[in-house]
Amino acid sequence: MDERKVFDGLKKGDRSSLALLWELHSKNVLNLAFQMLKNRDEAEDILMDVFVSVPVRVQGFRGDSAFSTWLYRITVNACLMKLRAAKRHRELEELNHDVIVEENLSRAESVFADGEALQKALAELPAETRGMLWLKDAEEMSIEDLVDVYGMPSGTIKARLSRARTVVREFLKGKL
Amino acid sequence: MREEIDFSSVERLTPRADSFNRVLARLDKQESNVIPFKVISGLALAASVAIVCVSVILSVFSVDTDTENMPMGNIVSLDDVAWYSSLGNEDSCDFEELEESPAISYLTARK
Repeated sequence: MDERKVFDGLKKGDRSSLALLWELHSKNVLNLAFQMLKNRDEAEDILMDVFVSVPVRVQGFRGDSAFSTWLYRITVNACLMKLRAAKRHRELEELNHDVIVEENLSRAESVFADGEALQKALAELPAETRGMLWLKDAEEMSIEDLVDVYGMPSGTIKARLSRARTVVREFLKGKL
Repeated sequence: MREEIDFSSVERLTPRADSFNRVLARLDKQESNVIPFKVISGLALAASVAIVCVSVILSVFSVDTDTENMPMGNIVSLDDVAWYSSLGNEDSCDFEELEESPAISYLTARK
């Protein structure tokens, strides 16, 4: 797949290039947004917002990074803006945490071995760190690309990832 | 020990079937909003040019040839002309009717 052709097509406002971009990256954008927002509908909204903004934003995109990195950066910023605008991410996470604890108490221990348990462990993390961990460990993104997405020094990103993994492991260990 | 968290058990979401069509619909709507804006702004510009042209044309045709070369010093208001023409034509100079200012009253009282 030649990203350059997609890039040139998008600059000209070509809808088929946008469709191709959607086919390649929409799933990744959606999953990152979902990891950050923990809400399917809001993640879908972010996905659509990101792709609606692509024809305009691509005019300022120089193509010096991969499309995926560029889209992730837009997605992370869109999610953070949504969380900040709503001013409810902290309350939401605390609320979710309470629900999670209640649900966990009433379920069998085996539930923690599956993906749902991991999702609940991830809910312990701040949204930004959660997205970072998802991109690194689930999407196998490099530290260099994370630096590009988050605009942070690599040392800061590594430290955050390390702390996040510890929190997740401790959460899972404590509940198992 | 493996450092990374194993996300293989986490279910990956897939965008809803109609999501891309909704994206296209929003883009179409944006474009349809841009066209009227261009038309409206073009109309406003054309109207501005028309107003300027009309005002220039009117100013050209409404120039009075008799007063065109009259110096500004000769332009006197009607009130001034009436006042000058009334000088010496009346018995009273209306000095009694002058209103005393508070400052004059104060000076008079001191005397």
